[in-house]
Amino acid sequence: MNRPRAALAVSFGCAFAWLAAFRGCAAPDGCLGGDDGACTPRTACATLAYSCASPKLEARRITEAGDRDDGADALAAVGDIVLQNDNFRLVLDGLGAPHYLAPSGGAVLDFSPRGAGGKGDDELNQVFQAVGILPGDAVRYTRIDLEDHAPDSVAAVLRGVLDGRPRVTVVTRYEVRPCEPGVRVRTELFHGGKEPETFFLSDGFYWGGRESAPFTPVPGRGFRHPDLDLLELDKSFVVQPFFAAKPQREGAPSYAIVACGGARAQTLSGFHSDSISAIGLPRQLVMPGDSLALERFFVVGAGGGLAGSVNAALDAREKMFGEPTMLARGRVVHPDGRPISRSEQASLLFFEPGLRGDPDATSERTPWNEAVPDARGEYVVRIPRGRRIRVEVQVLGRPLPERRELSGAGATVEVPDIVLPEAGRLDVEVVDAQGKALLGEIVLTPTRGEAAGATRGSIHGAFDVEHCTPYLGPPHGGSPACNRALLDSTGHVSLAVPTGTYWVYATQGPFATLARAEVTIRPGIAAPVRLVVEKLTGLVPEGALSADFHVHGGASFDSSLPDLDRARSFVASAVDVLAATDHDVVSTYERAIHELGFGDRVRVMPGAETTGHVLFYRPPGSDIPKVVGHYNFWPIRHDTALPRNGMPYDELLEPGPLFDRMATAFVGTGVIQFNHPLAGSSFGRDEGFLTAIEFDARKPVPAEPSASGPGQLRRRAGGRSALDYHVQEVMNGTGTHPFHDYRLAWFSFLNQGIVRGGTANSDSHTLAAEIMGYPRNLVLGGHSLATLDLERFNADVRNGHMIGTNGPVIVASVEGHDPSLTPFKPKALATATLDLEVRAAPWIPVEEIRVIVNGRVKRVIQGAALSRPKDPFGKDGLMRFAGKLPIAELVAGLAPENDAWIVVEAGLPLYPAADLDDDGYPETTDNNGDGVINQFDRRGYDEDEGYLEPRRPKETDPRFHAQVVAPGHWSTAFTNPWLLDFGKDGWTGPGL
Amino acid sequence: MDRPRPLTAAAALAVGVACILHASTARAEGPCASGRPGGGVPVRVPIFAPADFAVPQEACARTSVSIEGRMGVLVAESDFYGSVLAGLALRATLKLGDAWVSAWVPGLEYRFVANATVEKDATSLGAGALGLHVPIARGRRYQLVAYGRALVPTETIFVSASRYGAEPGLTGLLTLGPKLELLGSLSSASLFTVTPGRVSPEWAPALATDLVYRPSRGFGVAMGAGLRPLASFDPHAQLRFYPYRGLQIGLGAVMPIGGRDRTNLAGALSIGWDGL
Repeated sequence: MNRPRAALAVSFGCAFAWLAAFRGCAAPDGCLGGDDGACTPRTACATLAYSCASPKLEARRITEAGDRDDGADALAAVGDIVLQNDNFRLVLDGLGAPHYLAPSGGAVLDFSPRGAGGKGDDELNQVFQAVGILPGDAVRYTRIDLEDHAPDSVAAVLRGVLDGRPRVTVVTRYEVRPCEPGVRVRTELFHGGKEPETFFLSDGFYWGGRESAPFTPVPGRGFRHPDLDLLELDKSFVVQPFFAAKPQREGAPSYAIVACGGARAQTLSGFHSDSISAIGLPRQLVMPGDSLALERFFVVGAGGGLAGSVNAALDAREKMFGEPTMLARGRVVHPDGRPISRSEQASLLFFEPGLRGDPDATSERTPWNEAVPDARGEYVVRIPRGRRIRVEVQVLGRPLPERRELSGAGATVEVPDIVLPEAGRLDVEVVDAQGKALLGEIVLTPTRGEAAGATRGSIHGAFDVEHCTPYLGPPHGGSPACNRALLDSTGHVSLAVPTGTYWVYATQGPFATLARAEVTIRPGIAAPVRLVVEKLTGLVPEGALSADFHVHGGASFDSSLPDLDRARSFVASAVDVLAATDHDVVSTYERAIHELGFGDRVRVMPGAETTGHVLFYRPPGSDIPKVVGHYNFWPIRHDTALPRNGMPYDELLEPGPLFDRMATAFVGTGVIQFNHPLAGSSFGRDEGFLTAIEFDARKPVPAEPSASGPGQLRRRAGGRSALDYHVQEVMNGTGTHPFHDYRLAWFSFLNQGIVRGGTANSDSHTLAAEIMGYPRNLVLGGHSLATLDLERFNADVRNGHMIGTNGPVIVASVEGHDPSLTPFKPKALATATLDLEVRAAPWIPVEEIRVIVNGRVKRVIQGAALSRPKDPFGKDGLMRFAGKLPIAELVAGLAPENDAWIVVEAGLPLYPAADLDDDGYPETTDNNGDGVINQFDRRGYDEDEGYLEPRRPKETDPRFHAQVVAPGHWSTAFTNPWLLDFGKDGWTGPGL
Repeated sequence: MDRPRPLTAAAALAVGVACILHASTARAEGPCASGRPGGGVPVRVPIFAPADFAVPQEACARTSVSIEGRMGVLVAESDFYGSVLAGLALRATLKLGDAWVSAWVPGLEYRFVANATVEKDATSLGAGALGLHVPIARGRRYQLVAYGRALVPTETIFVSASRYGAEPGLTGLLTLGPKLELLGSLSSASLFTVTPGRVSPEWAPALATDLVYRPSRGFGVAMGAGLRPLASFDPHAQLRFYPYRGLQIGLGAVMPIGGRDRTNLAGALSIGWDGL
């Protein structure tokens, strides 16, 4: 061998020897090399240490019902995992008990600070792990092991894979140590797949849209976040040292999460919206065979704004990364030294000014912490030391113009008292005609000449709702919320109110009088108001009960409304019967109703709204996975020992199988309601099944299942089909757009002989955004709340023996037949009449009555044929129309052997809108105000934004008062159909 | 050697390679004797192993240098996945008698991967490779070459892993006429991705055959197909230009069909000088 060849041989020998040696470098590190079933991620946040006097630790599975914290979102059930120390209790849902967006158990379900000997308060829906936004990107855990190393630590180790990539293993370890304010979490992912992937290994926090407000200490952010567009996700990512979330419910805990993966992982990347936050490692290109590790410290803080959790987060960063912080203590008081009251909704935002221009500009500054003064007006916040920090005080949702700068360089700074003038007060008393306390509601709105924007408020930019003026409290929290408040059992409420002149309305639903007074609020002065509200007799037919079959409270993932206030709202809106239909969880409000003594004033049917979260359903022609919308079921069993309080798991099921599964939970003969069938999409999830299948009301539903959109309605897996619901929402909330669409679908089904009852429900999630009982159902049939027979009541509901209304009351019959789904043959067509009365409270406008036969308007009554009360605040003039309409005239022109159906609508004319895209539903309004609806009205609007709901009218408009009481109100009522059986073979649909 | 040591498998392999090297003898005749640029070169289109692993190697000794550009596109609508890979590297061969060594000098690689709307791109340093190529049989119209390549783990795309690899293979050349060559290749690349506590092996055997037509000195076209068992069937083609002396430009593409490899299309551009 010559020299070059020998050198070459030696070189190769060395290279291969090096290759042979690499195995020695591969010492195991947790589960970074994949999950072998025995590996364990190491302790997260290794440099973090705490100490305390009386350490406690506990790790166990829940074995008894009732082992659950307080707080409307608390859902711990038997089989779930508890990790607990002296500061907090964390619950992971059991493997077989998944919730919401997670494909399996193993998500954080409850996280509550320990109360003083009592139960903690939970305000967390869910925290789960995922690497992207598709269902297959979420982690499906398959095993949970508990480690008990007390007194040092306890832990839960969760093992699983990505739901759509079984070769990508994920192991997460939650470790709790004594004395610590949070849980240490380390997630290790190993990519055993074949293709490079982009993974965003993160925790998904499900806020739901109306719960906690995410907060990031990033310039221009704080509580303000750009709109989240799932199609433009890249634009939404932001890097942050920690992130936190502030609840809307007073006293509820706040949460924060801090990066703790060592010196090279001091920040977290993610995006935020009021629906969801996702926070974790930066998006990372991950090659097959590679691995990722995410470490974080997840803390919970007791109520009082963000400070409870952010103080702990900044303290942890100081311990881990040496970032200096200091404590700032102070008080917020009135000039006479009294502490600021809770009703003044004071909040202090601590921020680092921007480097350019206005130091207080929201676009430049970096918010670091937020505090709500306690009952003594005191606050303690941890903030970065060595930086310029200013504080902005917000009262009643609006920042005060004067900001002050904190000074001091020590570990603690005593901030001089922040002295604020006392806000004006409004003391309202509402009584009935006999002078007895009225359990109603008051609503404030600026009077003429007052600029609405001057009293509009928000939570430092978050949850800024247009009609919340004057701002009295967080719009989705308890009373006072937005611009309204519930009256207490004495008929009183006392509120801090921004300076200004307002109308104060007192109301108790649409079947009572409306009272109002003008009041001027001045700083530091209490303005008393006494109003009288009377129930209007003779308005609602005898034996009819007001019912709302779509109501949410704090148990829903998208509601922050405390149970007590929700229960008060039932009575304040004079709803007699309701279905508690929280998303994916069974509720009863039993405790709140008992506490308030409302047992004889309202009846709650436990129920639930199945809410598709996990995308799986691909109807024909759809390129993307969908969900099947929302359905309500009631009454169903309530059992706190079971996951979701007994609600069956409702994901990954088409409507028919879903109905089958839910029916197993019915108590008695239940009701299945098709909710908002054509609702749009929220966070990529269609909320109505007809939207998911792109149902065109002008086209027939096939008689058999088929590979078409409408053909999906007939699909069944041995049991029910998607058409086997009992009732369909025709009205949902106060919007005119939904009513347009839903009635078209309902009429289409009726014409095709798919006969289901129509309902009208509020879908209320809050006190302020959707108003309880607007609209509602008047269930006919001689019912009485005192002797209510729920089986018979629900039989009437299933039979469509009811009308839907947000004010007008239609009392009508044909030969003594109420509207219902029971067909009948008129005894004498020549003499048969539709005996019709339309009544309404004086403040409810009625300008039109429409009689619809087989889906077409056959008769319109309007103008002088209708009477109008002179005084909207009086109690006279309830009867707007009374008459008899010959049936023969209504069915004239129809083939005599064909069956027919009649529906009556009353209220305002249908809000003008047109179907310009020819999909069967109106989507465009007269947006340019030229009196014509055409393509010019679409200019400047996105595809789904061309329908503008009616603007709030002027004070002189008859619609004004109802719009104040129920924002968006457009007076509407409808009856269920009369099915006229003219043929010989039973009633059949007349056809499209 | 002064003191005997236990042989590892890799060391044994190295000795084997040395023996092959020693066994090869210089002969002036054979299909590579013309020395014309581009002779005995199969279609080298990437199939996404690093440093052109599992890509056919040349059959003739050359001293050459080239810039190798690679690109691949994968769009999978069914699971909202997409990726783009582009890379640039320097490849060189050094003739040592009848044998030659090859080097794949690590270059920059660009990757873009979209998991629905979660997207990320990254530019990183790719892998390198060293190879030894030895003719083991030769006739007037044919030559069979054995080669071994080792992956140099210089990739920076990994978060907490490193990738190693080795590839033994054979390349055969048969001249079918003055303008026509038939090339065949068989390789057995093994890749090892090493994370703490785990070695993830990947075996990527590959078989390829190409027909190269050289109608004139300045132009050639090659067509053929590869087969990676379970992974893909890879029909491929390449246009070759020889505009000036040793300058050569190759433009190739492969469209994997079937199998696990979901790559829609991959292409390669090679610009180099053959016969330094």
